[in-house]
Amino acid sequence: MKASAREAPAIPRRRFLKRLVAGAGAVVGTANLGVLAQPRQRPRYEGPNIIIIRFGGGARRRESIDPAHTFSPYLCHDLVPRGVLFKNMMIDSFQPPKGVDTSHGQGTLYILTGKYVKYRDVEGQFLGQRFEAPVPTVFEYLRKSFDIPDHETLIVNGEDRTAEEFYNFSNHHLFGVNYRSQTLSLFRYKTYLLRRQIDAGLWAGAELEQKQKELETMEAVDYRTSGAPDSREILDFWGRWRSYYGESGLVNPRGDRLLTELAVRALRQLRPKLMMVNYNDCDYVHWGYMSHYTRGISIMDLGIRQIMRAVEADEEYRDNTILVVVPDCGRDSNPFVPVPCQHHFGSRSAHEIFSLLMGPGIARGQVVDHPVDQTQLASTIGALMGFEPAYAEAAPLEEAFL
Amino acid sequence: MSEPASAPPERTSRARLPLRVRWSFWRIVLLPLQLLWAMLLVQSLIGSLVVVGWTYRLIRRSVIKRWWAQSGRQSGETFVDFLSARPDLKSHSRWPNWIVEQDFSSSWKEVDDSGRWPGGRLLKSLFHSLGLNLKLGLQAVANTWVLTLPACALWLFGWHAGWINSFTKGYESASVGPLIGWSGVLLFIVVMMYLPMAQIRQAVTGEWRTFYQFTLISTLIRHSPLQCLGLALLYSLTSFPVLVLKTIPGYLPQINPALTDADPARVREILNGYFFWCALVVLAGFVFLRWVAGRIYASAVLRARRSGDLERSQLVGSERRLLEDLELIPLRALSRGNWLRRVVGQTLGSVGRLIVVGLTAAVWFSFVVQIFVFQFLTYQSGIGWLNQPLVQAPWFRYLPASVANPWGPVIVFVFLILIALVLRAAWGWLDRLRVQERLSPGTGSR
Repeated sequence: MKASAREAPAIPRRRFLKRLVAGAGAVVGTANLGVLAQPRQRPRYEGPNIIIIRFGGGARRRESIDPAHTFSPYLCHDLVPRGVLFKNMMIDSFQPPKGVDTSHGQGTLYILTGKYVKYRDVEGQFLGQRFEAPVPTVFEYLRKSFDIPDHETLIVNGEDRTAEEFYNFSNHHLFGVNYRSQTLSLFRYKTYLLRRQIDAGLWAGAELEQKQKELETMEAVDYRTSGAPDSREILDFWGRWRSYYGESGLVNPRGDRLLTELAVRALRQLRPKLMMVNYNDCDYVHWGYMSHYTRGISIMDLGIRQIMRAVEADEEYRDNTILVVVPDCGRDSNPFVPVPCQHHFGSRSAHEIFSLLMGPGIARGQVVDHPVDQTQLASTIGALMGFEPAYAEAAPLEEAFL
Repeated sequence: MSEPASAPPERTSRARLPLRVRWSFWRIVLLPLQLLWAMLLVQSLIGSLVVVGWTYRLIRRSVIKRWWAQSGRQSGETFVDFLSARPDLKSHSRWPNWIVEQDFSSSWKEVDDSGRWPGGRLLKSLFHSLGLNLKLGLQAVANTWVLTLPACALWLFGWHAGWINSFTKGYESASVGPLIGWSGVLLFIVVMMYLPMAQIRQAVTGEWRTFYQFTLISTLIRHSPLQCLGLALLYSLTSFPVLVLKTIPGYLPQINPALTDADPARVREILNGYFFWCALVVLAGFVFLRWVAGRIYASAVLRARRSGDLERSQLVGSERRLLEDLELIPLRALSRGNWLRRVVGQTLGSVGRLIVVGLTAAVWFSFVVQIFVFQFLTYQSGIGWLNQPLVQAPWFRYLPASVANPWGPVIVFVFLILIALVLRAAWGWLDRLRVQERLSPGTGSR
């Protein structure tokens, strides 16, 4: 089974082939131009929208998809019957295993790039999560294949893990910053707000200098974009956010509920074709309280429900949106400790995840038992949207297609 | 009881060698057994109190021996000779017993002499040390808890409030958790500047009230700032392996992946064995730290007396008598210590003292930091915060709730203490009744 995960499916479905050929053509046409070259005319994108829910940070199957123990009833009881559940998805099931880490940043990049890489923080910081993917992300493949503006490919990120905001493009010389996605997060809003406040002349003298330094520091975090300004659509998005939630940061939803709100507003205002929502709060279990983990899962579940309601209420998204739910990593099931939910040490349980795909073109009510790999999702998303993720190392999840 | 003291000296000297040989033999035989017994005891809260009581008795003996050595009597008599001549100290001629009375053999002799079977006396002798160890341990840990539990509870609540608030993103009250936690840290550091010396004071005097002789104990600490710094450093260094041992079970499935699927019975079996052998390290650390503190205390008392900062009247009766017997009171010529101590003593002014106090606080801070870091690595809820095995009770057994209720031993402990209190009250009531009957015979029949 491990070998088959890396091979192309024997009999690709008609839809898969059609989209693959269209996407591959576009990629081949532009692949040699590099990041500095002016992109050639790309076809309009007419495929399905995809929303990737990162069911994180780090969730076990037991509390997610096991009906007897789930804290995510909407996912488990409502969505699973409407899609294909890969209940035996693994991180790095290769034989021999690649020995990659099971954590949030890494898992996010495995999903986005379709490749297992042993990531190291770019600044060599202990426990740092600032990684740069060496191979393209699905956002880059999509934007290079189709004429899609950056604000229609989004990462919605939390406030605790700023480093994960910058997984929106790779260092690959044929892709990179020109094909990046945009990020929506509280950090981005704070940066936007501070610039606006400085421009409005809110401060003067030493205070102004201090605020300018603060802004410089914040903008320098995204050093790979060389200070490229956000698009008008993104600025308008934050403008509306500001007028609705104000400037204090005390009015808007918090934690993972904030991500849901950003995602729902993005659906209405930015109309993304591909969006990834990086939920993370169940990771608070690291600090010793199991209830944070289970509560975090329930909050995510409510978030998915809200996003699905927004999708179903929107004519353009209804029946044209695929939902992909996948944890960034699993968690330990360690019987020797009171709170058995770490994930950093490569236990089998930390490798054990699942994935649910649901939407047009996806089979309904199927449960796939055999092992599949997390990296297969990038190829699957490519097949569904019509681009070829040439550097992804695993084949699409064949069972997902109708 | 006075016979041994009035025995002719030649008899003592003749008996000395065989007794020593016999004692050494038994010590070699019994030491591993005693160690295993102690390791078993620290698997439970009540058992760990027995260990604390035993340690306090051992430390009292150690301090007496230290003073005896300082008195320059080694040439004239052995330590055992010195103790044998004093009925109130005779029991310290050997290491404290765990279960039976210190001179248990004399109880048997009493049986032989009287020709009758004094059942009550024998029964008491059989368990005298066990009861004494438990009583002293309870007093010791209760006093230690009085000072340390508030700080430890603040850690627990600070951690709880801090992470609950962080999870719910309560920016408006973000400072509450850290403030509670930091208050606990600061309180603990202040307490630990005092506690080790107070514990030894209680151990040496055998009186729980002396733990709270704040002026006297502060004087002793003031007379041994560098030693207290060193002791803090030893605590911090000893704490590291103990915390590593506490954390290792969390990584057993990484060490042996087959253990990932172990059922609760197997987990319990593995952890029982693991924590049993861990007790070897915990016990060694616990006793060693108190032994070092005992030596510091013994020297500090003499230094404080020599400087006149410690009044004769501040010492408790037994301690005063002992020091007088050893001619350490009144003031006598003592060694002025080695050159390093003299140089340091002369150069340490108030600024120097402040630096040493600051350093000691910093070292105690490193002790606390370790607790927090290891709690992050493997979180042990209430017990992990409230009981530090090297400071409070050396109770070292962390079973997950899936295997055993972690609060079970605490509940049993409280229950047994309540029973003991009720029995004691009932005994007192019966005693009073008996006295009344003796004073007014026949009242009951009327």
